[in-house]
Amino acid sequence: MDDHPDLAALRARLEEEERAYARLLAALDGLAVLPHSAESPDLWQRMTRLNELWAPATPPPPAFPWSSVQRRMDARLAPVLQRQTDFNSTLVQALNGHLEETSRLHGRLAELVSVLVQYLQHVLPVMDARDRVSTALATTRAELVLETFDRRQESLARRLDALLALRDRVETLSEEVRAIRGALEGQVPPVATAARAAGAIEDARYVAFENRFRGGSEDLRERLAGYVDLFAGLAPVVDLGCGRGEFLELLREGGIAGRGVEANAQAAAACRARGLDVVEGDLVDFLGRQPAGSLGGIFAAQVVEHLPPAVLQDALGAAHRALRPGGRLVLETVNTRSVTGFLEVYLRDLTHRTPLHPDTLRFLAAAQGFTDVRVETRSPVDPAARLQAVPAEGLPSRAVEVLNENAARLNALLYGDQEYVLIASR
Amino acid sequence: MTRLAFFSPVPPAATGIADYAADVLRLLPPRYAVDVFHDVAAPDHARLPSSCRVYPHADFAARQAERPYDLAMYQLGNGPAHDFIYAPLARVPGLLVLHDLVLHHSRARMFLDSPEARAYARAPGSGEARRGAGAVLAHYADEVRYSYPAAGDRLVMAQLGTVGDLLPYAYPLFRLPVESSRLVAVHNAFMAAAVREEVPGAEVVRVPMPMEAATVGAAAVAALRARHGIAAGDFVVGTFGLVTREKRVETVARAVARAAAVHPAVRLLVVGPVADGAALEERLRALGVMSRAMVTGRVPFADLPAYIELADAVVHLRYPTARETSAALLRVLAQGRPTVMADLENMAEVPAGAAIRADVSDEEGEVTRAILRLAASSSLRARLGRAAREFVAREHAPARAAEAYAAAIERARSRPDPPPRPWPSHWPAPDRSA
Repeated sequence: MDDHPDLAALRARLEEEERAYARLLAALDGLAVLPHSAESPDLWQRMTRLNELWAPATPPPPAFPWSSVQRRMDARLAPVLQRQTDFNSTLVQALNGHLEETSRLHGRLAELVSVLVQYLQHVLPVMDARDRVSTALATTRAELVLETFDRRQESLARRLDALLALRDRVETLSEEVRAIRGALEGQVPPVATAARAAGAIEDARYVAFENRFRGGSEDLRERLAGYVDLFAGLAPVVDLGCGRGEFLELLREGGIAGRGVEANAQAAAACRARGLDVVEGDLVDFLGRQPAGSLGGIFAAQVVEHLPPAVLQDALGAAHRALRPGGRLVLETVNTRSVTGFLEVYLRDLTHRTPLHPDTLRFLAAAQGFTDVRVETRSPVDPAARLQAVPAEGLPSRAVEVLNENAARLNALLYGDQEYVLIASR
Repeated sequence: MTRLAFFSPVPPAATGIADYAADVLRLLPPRYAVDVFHDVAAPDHARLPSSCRVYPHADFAARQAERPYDLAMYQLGNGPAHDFIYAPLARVPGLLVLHDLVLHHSRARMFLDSPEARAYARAPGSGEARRGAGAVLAHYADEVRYSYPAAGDRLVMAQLGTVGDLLPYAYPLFRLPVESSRLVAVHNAFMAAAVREEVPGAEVVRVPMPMEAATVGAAAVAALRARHGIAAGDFVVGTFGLVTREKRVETVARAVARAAAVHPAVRLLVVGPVADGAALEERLRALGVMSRAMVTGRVPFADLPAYIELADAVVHLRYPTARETSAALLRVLAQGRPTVMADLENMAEVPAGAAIRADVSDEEGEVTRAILRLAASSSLRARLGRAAREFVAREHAPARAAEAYAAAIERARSRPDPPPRPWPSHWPAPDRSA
């Protein structure tokens, strides 16, 4: 990256402007020392003298007070002298007033120049402070941008590491597949073997889908661990659609005998390889084969939404028959009352067949004879994703109340818990 | 017996590398005779093995002249406690233990925070101040230009004209110390790769950071819980270490606040020295978590393991990072604490199952969700804690670190001094007399 094309020119111009500013300031400093003409000694001496001389001197006593000529002259000169006296007085007053006003104006002018100089002296610090703030803001902005990109880069680098590891794994698997194909080349497998292979591929795809969207086994174990206590003392427990067998393992760890039913052959085989009692097959068929009242508990997580309505009702009926009195049915499914649950969980899986409103499932269970039917919701949406409450400050209290009530309603509708569990007794 | 000159911050210097040095010094004897050279006013001798002799770093030249050491070792990091190491490192090439890939901040501060530079910063329009700072600024500029010839001038200008500190993370400025060393030891693969990439031909080895779990009695933890009023059902989220911007305590606090909306019993424990406790508490109050927060400040080193075990889960964030391997993280993993850690390239050695990793592009959300997962699952906490403990015991066992250090020392001894290069003129020349 090159420098900003104008940077060198801008810096040169800044230096020139700083020099010009220094010259101007020096000139102003010179002007600040004003010669005070009103303080000129000559002027004040002249004014003092003028204030002494303005009145006419007292006339000497008449030399010939008895002289009629003298009296007539005095009478004629008196008005003239008075007029001169008035003129002198007015003139001296005007000069005194003018001098005072000049002196006052000079004082104001000196103050003005002083303030002006101070003002100009502060221009550079202010500009400098503004420049620093501006630089800081620009830097802050740059840092924010840099941090955003840097965090993204770090995140992408870590994902790239994982992808590279995955690539290595895929290459290894590709080699294995090539080797197997090479060994099989020219040999047509028996029809039954080919069909099983095709089924295994289909099963493997769904297992991959579940791994991607429902999380790994560890995550699932965490989610299911809370259900174990519901089956305390209720062995044997059947897990319908047991998948990778996480719940059966939890039952085993809890000392509760459990058995699984799984339609996915690959998953069932994987469970059996881990020592779990798992039957590959259809859950309704399985339940139908169980002696009446032989089971203590039936569990199915994320299964019932895969069943068409008629099959679901058959399954509930078979479950009721297979459970002994006091036995417990626990069904976890997607909460379709939550828009997030419906859009983000239910619709994502193409094998989902029936969106089940909690009231519907509750009704269907009760209709088959289950009692104490209750529904609990699970898997809350991240609080940060929900609509936030309006703060009380600065708004009318009633408006805040209404807005927040509306937000709460919308939150319940849009961001309600994503799953629910139906718990019922035989 | 091989004689080592060991340059490092030592306790009570306010850096984790001082604690690390104390641990490493216990691993070297009796195979090596170690003289420690430091820069603290009063070393905490109780933390250092009695077999080591401890000297102010100013004594090194005389001791080296009297009887040259077989090898000099330098514990170098991105902090002011390491300033004294640069000069001997250049004069007496040896084994450089590079704790931080990024050295730019501390090295730049040695120039840019000098009295002349501070005067210039206060009066940037003053030609006189500018000229006064010219020499030190030129030294800094020379080092940057040498390390980054393509960007040097612009980088120097930006550093002098701006106030941010992220940019130096992209220009770590380790080239000169690396080129001046016989061998470089680092603690993680990311740093090793970065050093090799920037300084082709540099000899780099990895040594594990020694760490082991301390024994903590249940009574000690119970006493701490009682002291801090922690109820039986509370879920304590801890964060440990010197509270700096990089530890992102505020992010942890935000995550705790979000998690508390779902799990009201979540509490926040902040353990470590705090520069401005009042400001931190004000931030926690503003975030609405002060009522559920416990801020201890610095606690005695011996009490730290009990505080770690007081936490039901630990959150360890670092951003930005100097790419160090965090001893603070290894310490909580060693104690078997379920931990949420920033997913950083330099911490890739921590196995996936030994901690929950938080994507740094959404730390707050990742930590929030991790806290909720951990609070909801005692089995997950147990699994993570077990795997963490096993990882540290396996990879960071002191005996393993001792072997790696010994191998690095022998390799450094067997290597020649690095060839001279056109280093900046102010960079001290190697002393060829020894």
